[in-house]
Amino acid sequence: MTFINKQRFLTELSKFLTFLSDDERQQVLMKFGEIFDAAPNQDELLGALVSPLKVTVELSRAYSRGGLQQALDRSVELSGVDLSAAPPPPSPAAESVGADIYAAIGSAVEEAFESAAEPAAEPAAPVSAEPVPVEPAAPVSAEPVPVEPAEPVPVESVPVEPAASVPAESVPVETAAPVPAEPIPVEPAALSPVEPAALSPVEPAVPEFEDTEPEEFFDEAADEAVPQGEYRAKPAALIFFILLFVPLGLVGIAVLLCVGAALIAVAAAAIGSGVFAVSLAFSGMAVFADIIMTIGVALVCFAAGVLFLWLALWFLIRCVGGLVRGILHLGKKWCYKEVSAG
Amino acid sequence: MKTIWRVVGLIALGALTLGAVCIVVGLITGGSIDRIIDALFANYDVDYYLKICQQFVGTLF
Repeated sequence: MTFINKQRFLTELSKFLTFLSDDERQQVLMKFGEIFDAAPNQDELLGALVSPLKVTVELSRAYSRGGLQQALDRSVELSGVDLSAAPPPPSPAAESVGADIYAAIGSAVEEAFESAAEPAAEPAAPVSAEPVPVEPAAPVSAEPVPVEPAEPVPVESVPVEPAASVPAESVPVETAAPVPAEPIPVEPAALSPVEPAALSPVEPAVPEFEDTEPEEFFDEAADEAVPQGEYRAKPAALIFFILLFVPLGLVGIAVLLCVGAALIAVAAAAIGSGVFAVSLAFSGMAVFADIIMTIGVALVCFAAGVLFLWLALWFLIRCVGGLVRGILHLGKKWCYKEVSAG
Repeated sequence: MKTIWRVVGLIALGALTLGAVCIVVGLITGGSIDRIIDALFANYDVDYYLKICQQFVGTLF
């Protein structure tokens, strides 16, 4: 079960790593193979990696920052597996076998994509409709060749060769026709006999990217990407701006402060009324129902007071601060000219 | 900022609801607004404060 999940993970990952070259992709897949081999529990590792798509996004970012080595380091970092504590690497022969498997996965995915792109063009190519002149020197003409050679093709054998040898013999065209009529069964047998379900449903459309990263990451990246240019002041515009907008800004700030002060006054009046009502309830009342009603009025006054107080603070922070920031931004836009660093 | 708005709104809504409940309970149990106003005017010199407010408004407008 775990083996199947690992294979599926690698297959999906190979599909997504389109930004890498073939060699780099195989290196990444081999690195993940090592990680899977070194992991004490592969289910936990799969849980830590979350999904091939997420791993692809992380690898893409690491690759764009520091190339392949950064991506490989990020792979180990994502998995959380200590490769130094892993058992010694396999023998060169076994390693070459592993490399063949990953190369087979990569090429299988590419072929799957190609076959999805042009589904009907290839089957007609190997066999022509007109009778092919028979060459007497063909090595396989003496013995009858079975018409269905493509059924149990092992991984090691190249799958295209049996189909190509069929038209060379002296067989009528009608008997050779079934061979190209079903080229697809040859393909999955060559791709991965362990897991045909992962390869046979060709997915032409890559799933939509779902961002799970916090926004700060992109903000940091955006900040890094923005070049810091130099600004040069335009004196005439600056003087004009100061003469015009400093008085206007001061007037605007004064008006906003007046509105904020009025709101604060209302809040203070409401809170004061509440305090007044509470003191009245416990000083001059004799009937319990009247006391309850007065306390109710006091609570309503407190609620209004708290609301108006926060409204006044919010108004002052947002409006006055926004006005000042807007004036400064406008001044920077009008009075300063960006000069390229070079 | 949004969190503060939420907290302030919850506090204000809670106080408003509790005050409304108190007023309704007081009215149900026999409370009287006239009696409260009489007690207010008897304990505090409300007319004096009203005159001050009227003068302040008159000076403004």
